[in-house]
Amino acid sequence: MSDAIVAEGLVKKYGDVVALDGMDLSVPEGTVFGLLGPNGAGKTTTVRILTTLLKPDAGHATVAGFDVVRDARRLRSHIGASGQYAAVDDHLTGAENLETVGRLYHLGVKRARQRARELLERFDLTEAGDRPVQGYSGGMRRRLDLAGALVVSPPVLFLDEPTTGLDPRARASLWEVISELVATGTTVLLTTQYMEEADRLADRIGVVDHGHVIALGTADELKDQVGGDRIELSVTSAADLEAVRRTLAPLAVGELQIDVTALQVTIPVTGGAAALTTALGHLTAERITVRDAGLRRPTLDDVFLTFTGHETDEKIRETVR
Amino acid sequence: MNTLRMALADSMTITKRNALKIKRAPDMLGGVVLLPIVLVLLFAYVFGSMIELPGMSYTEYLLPGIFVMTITTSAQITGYALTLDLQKGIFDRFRTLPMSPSAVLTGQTFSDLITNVTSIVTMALVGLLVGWRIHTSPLEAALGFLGLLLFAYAFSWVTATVALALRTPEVFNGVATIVSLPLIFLSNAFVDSAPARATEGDRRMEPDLHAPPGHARAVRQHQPGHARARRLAAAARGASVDTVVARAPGRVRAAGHAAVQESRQSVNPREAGE
Repeated sequence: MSDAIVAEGLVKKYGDVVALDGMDLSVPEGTVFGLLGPNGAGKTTTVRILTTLLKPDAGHATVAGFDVVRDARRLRSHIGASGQYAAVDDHLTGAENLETVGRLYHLGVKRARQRARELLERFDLTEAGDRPVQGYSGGMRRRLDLAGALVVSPPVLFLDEPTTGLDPRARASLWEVISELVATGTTVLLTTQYMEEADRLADRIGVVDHGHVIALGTADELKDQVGGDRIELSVTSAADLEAVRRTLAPLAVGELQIDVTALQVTIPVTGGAAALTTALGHLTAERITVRDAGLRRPTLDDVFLTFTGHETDEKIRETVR
Repeated sequence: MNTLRMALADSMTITKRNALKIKRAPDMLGGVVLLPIVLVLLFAYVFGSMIELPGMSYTEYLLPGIFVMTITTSAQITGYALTLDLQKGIFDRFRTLPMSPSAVLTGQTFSDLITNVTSIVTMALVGLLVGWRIHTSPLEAALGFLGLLLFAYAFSWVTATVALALRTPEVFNGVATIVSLPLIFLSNAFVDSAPARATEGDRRMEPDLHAPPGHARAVRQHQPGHARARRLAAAARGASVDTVVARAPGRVRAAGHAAVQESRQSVNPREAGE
């Protein structure tokens, strides 16, 4: 199987800011690659270079066999892109938006119209199709934007944070649409800030920080390295924190994190719910009062902590504030 | 499809998209219709009664100036609409398509011709109401209005160039006002802005020393083209426009320059050299 997307040593600078610093990628045909990272990590810049919107300062990339700089014009007939913000026209109807895109792919009037109807039906927008987009919900707009990327059924698809800012229900419905798409054999490069999203949709995940990939693997491989689930406990007094650490240290895979101000302890564990039961049993035996306890999946912050030794910049800013 | 045919077809697609937008949101057109009405009435009645000119009514002197001024304002819609599309990411979507890159701009300027025609028709009708009259043959009058429309089209490209350099609608609006306001008053739309050149009472109405005599002079005075010529000369003097144009990206800059240059020359070859 050959690679549909290959990027080698991409560098992009905006003035003094280095957005991409040696970005390497390879995505085999028919697979989904998730680019996972916080805001400003270089995800969008990567997508913009691969979709011919930006020229890299150094390095080179090919998509579907076309060089993104030299063959940019020909490449555009072979890709579809859907961005962070739904790039749809408020005053036009859903059908008109898709028709315009179809015409610009040079499908011809009749075929463009026909294709617009097909896509509206597929994305559950048939009823809304003849209404101006102005009245659409956020989720409907994203679906329409995604439909716009699929007008010519391109072999390679770029989805830049397709669900950012959506409510959980809209997100779930968009995930379903993307999963179906992937089943048809399209190669997809997806960027996301959500571990859960990458986990659900991507075959392989690249963790990005400061403009390059710092960890690469399947969701399971990464999660194993990050340490699987976490138990999060809150106690009522700071005096208990040390007791909790002593009691639960044997259960932890990796290091416990103690947040003194929030009176919170985070313990990486394996074994899920059973580990939580065991931990609570130990604490009860030691007569430590627990205010709140829960089990959670690793978050992007956990992945970051593990691979970079620092939390995402955003999280650091929040903490400082 | 060859490049030219593709560029044309894509331009028509974008024009159609924009025309649909006008149809769905006629409020934008409302401004283009209301502004001329307000300006014509305001200036015709406020200044028209205060200023007296030998041999003609001030209203008739003023109207062509108002025509050009209004069309300058309505041509700014081009730039404004482009900044809105830029901001919403619609340009990015278009740029990932295998379309002709220039079509986004040509399509926008084409569809703005619709708004400009609306403006011109409104102004002419209101003008007729307040006493402005066409004193030439219908053909000459038609050519005069066509010239006005061409100026509007050329100015659309200037505002497009500025818009691409400035990128956000807020900044564009601010700069457009700052640049166009002085240009309007530097021109002879309201008063003859080159009185120093006029040595005789008769010359006061004829700002261009090289102007053709006789009936041609009458045409210039009674057709929209008169003030237009001076406006373009004023634009040439207003270095600010050229400075902004000079900073814009290559291809667009060339297009913008060409448009301005061409209209300057076609309207008044002598003044282009000023």
